[in-house]
Amino acid sequence: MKKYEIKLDRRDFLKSSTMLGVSTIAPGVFFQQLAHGRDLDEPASSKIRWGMLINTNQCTDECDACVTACNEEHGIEDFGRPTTDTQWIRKLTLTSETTEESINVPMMCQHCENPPCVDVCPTGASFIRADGIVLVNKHTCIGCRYCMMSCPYKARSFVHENLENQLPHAPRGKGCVESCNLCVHKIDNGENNTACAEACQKDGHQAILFGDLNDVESDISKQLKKYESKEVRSDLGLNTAVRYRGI
Amino acid sequence: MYKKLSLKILLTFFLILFSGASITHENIPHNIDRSVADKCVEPTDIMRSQHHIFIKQQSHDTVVKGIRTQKYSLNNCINCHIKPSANGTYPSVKSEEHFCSGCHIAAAAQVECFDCHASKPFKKVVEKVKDSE
Repeated sequence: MKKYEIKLDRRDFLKSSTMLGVSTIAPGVFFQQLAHGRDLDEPASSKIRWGMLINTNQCTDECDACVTACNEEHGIEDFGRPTTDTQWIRKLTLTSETTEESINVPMMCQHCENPPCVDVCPTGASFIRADGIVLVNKHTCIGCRYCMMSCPYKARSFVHENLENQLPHAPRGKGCVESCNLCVHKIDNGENNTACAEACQKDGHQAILFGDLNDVESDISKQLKKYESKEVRSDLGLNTAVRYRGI
Repeated sequence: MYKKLSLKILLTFFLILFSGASITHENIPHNIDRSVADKCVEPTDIMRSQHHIFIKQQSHDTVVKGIRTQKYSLNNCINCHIKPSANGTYPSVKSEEHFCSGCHIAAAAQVECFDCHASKPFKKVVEKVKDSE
């Protein structure tokens, strides 16, 4: 009996020491990879899901830094035609009829896990990337605008005008549908932040937080666990990557 | 009827065979910005016949997969091949002075890349490339 016990202890010791070694080294390696971003020749990974948490309590009435920053980042021009001009992010003001209390909601593509725009696209131009970003492949977009009709958030715009002087990182042209791409060029270059979130942080509002929803150690995951947040039209079961506090 | 058809096929065959011969490329300057790179990413022969294949593959990799390697990217082509003229302005994509349009106008093959993509180097990008060298 005594002999058996000793044998078991040794095995247990070996097993547990190996497990301990793996569990101490593995997360370190894993998180270091995430923190450093991926190489330029490495495709986007489904281990990551990019998302946003927007705190409407900190979004003020006068400020439109996020909209301006987005337009500047992607070279979006204003043609003075508000009904058809391109909008990737817009600010909504919601007022309660009973209390007359207003809140500001920056609204853009919500990067759904089950996006209706992808379901309806006849050419496969509207697609969801491995890391959860919903994009339009403008090489295959035929400009039918079904996705615009299907989007519950009115997040997409159609380019009606001939464009000139586009930016190298943001190709845009007449006849294509486009929407917020979560600054995909910045993500691919390892900056891991969006123009709107940067502008909001710079202005001191800190209303927009961008990060990896799959990483339990990221700020966004911690805040999502700590505070109450909502999806807009959660009844549709789209599982959006953009979530709101204070609505 | 069959005679007519076979004549048409023969004509099409000859047209395809000799269509390439009319474009020599010899009189079109390469216009490489030597301050960015010494030579093109592939030998001239390969680039002449296959540049569209490289660019198309790269566009798929970048848009769908998120791969942003510089080698075959359109931005990389533009940064090197589009140089400012004597008065400091970049040539318009509609003019023959533009490296891409130079050939494409001669070959009567419409280039649609620049309906959406930037047809001239972006200052910041060029500075970044120079800094990294």
